[in-house]
Amino acid sequence: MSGQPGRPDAEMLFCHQCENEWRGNPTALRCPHCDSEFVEVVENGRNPRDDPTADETGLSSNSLAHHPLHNIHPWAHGPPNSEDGNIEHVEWNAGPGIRFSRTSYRSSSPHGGFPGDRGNDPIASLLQNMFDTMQQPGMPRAGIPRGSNAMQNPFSQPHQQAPWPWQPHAHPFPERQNHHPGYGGRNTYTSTTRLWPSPPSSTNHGNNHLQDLLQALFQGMDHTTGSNGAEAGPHVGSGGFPGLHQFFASVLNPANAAHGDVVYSQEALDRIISQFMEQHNGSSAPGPASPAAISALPTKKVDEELLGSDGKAECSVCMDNVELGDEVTLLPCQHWFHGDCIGAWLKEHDTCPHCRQGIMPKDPPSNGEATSPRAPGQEPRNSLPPLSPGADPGPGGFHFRYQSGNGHGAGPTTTFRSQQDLPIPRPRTERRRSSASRSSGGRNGGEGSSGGGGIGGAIGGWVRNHLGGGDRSSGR
Amino acid sequence: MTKRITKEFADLQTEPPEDMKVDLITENDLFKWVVTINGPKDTPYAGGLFLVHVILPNEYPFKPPVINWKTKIYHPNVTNDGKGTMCLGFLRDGEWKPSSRMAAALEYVRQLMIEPVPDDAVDPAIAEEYKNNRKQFFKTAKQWTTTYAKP
Repeated sequence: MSGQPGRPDAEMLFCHQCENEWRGNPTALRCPHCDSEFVEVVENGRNPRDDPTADETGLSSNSLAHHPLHNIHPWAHGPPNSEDGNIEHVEWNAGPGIRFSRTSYRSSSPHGGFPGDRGNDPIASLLQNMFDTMQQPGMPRAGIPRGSNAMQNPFSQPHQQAPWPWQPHAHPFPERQNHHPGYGGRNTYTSTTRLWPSPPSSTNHGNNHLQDLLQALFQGMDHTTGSNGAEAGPHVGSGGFPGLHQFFASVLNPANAAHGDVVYSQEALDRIISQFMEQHNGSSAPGPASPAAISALPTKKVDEELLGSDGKAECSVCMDNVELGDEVTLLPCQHWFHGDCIGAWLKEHDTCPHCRQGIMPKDPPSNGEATSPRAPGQEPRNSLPPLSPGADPGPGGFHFRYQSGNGHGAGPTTTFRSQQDLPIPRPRTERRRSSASRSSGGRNGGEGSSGGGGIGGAIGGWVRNHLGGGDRSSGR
Repeated sequence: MTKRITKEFADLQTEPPEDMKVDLITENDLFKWVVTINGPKDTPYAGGLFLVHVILPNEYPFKPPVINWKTKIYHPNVTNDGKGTMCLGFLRDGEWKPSSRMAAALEYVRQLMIEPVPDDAVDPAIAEEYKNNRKQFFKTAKQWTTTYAKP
């Protein structure tokens, strides 16, 4: 950045009073800083203080004529190595007859001040005090970064607008922390000016004003946010405050509209209900048959009658063919299966895989659970009779069960099959089942929550229907 | 019951349900199927290509398969939550029977595309629209098909 050529008529000047250093017109030998006339024209390559780093600083200030801020990072050449060599210098022409200059020094102490000019420069003193204050741990930061910008605005180029107290791009803290964490307020100050080349867009001023005010507020509330100002800063300009924004985003985002037990959308409610349902592995299906009854089921040998006209039959659970002479287990409904296959099913659900009639008798013996299956003529405990009793709907058949009872088979039930029945309204089933669960309690109360995958979604839909929701228009 | 699953899968290869193609998601896992469905004609899904994952539980056939639409579909019976769950009728745990077959399950899925069951919806708003504003339902479903179910 110091590669740009200097202004030809500018000389390096040095004030021995305040050790100010600037580049300007050598005919005006008066320090613009302390007003002293003890000013030396510094010849090229010579340091008035015999300090090599000061020389570099002087050279880098050649670019001042083009941009007042090009030399404000003198430590880019390396860390300062002597007390009076740590010079920062900024100078610019603000218009005819007006010239600003700033020279500052770093001492080795983290809170090093302005040894040369503190007493003479009210602005520098003010800045120093301010930044010293900001260094205090735990100091609320609200407004302070903006204040620093207000102070730096005298550096603005003449054509720019009046000092804008909330210039959004200046975030001195990260600069200081990233580059020179050990230095004091001086570094903060110069770092701030370094960010200046992003001029505030005049069209954004109205927005930035409010936003930055609010952001300063947020920063005041949140120290971390404040110290990440460089990151947050540009985002502010493009519209938002991270905390608030995130809050609203999370509230309004349907995919994320749940916080703990609180939900903000119907979808979220459904999801929670689904989750709830899935956690309950209950089932509306009838419970198991007793092991004793299962093992007491009669068996029979596969005969030609069983195989039927095409001479082939299979166990509809495992889908294996049965051969003449194989032993199969016969249910009271006269449907047959491999013993192992039907046993595995019945110990979960007391229903025939074909006709849904259970093997347990409806009226258990007075001494407890039945140890043997019901007789073929005996009424089953679980019964879901098909349209044509005993008929096997076959693998392609669809069963739609309308259940007016509570799942114990106490009420009349009907099973429809065939695809034509598909669109037949089913919510009645859900509603009845649900209300039955509530009213009858008992075993089915727990089973009302059908387990598995998306059943909860269906019941969520039921809840929605009953809660009178269902307006998705906002979601789309 | 791997044998049964193998048999069912093989049967579905030789005789796939209409508009459907059944594959394994991964070659060596017989319990996870991916079904590619061509949207049936005369439905708003026509022209779309829908992927459905069918997960057979370990207890299959004693537990029903789990149907998840991987392709977003505008349908009253499919959850619009990223899971695309479809669980109704005899796909429900309580209504499934071990004699039910995957061919029937898939045919049922296809049938639902042709004729949704709005009264057993997981998405009541879509169901409401399907019942009361069929035109709008078709329009949106078609839009979704174009957008999400690109072949």
